[in-house]
Amino acid sequence: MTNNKERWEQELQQGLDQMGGWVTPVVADVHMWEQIIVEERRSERKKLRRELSFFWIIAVIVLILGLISFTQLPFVFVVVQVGALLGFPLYWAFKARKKVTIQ
Amino acid sequence: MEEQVTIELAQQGDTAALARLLQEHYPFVLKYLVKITFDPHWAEDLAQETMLKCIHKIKLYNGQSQFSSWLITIATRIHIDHLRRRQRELNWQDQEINLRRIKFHAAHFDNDWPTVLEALGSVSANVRTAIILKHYYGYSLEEIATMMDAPVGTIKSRIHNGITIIRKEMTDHDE
Repeated sequence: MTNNKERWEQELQQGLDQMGGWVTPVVADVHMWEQIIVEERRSERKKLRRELSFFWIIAVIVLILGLISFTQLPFVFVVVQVGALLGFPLYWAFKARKKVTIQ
Repeated sequence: MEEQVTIELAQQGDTAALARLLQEHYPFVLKYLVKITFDPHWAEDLAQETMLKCIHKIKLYNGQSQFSSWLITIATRIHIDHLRRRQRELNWQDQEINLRRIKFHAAHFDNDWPTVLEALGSVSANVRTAIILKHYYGYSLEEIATMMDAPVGTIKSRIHNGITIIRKEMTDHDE
């Protein structure tokens, strides 16, 4: 059993060593790698800037829309909205609590 | 020691140091990927992706493992991601094509195609990767689990099942 294990392991080592020899990697020189790094960093910065701009644009739009709706809508409508926002969760919370006490 | 200094410089943003690191380790990563994919062309794509990821993540290398092991971890995960993105493992026809390609490389170097590689080519990519990491590179089960982002138990059973298949194939071939 042990010999068998050793044999396949040895063959695996040899086979994979051979396989490594069949590939001749074309390695770029240091200058080329430097160019790749600079290019990658530049594109990363560009991507980050684009994403940040997108985030800020959306944030400003949401803020402006919120401000407009808050300042332009009648007071009663705002009160109804707030009431509805708070009322439904409270109603469901009380309903759930009642169910628990009945059980 | 010298590599440690280069890594520190690279982490501080030294482009030349990072370029040296990438240049030195590229052949090692490529050869590892050829072994787990059995496909030199795909391995080249994956190796380049590994190097690009290394450029972005170099600051996250914490020195707890060797730099080459860290690169192997990145390469392994990129390979697994590629397999997942295809939503299926390479089907048997793709595997056959890959095997033929790598056999062609072997013939080009006047080498016989070893039985053990034939057997290794018949198991799935995840099983093959685990076996190679354990029995060729000598990593522990825990290290392989981290590299492949899988539980230790899964890795253990993958290796066990894979070896059983390889042994059987080799015994069949001998008979």
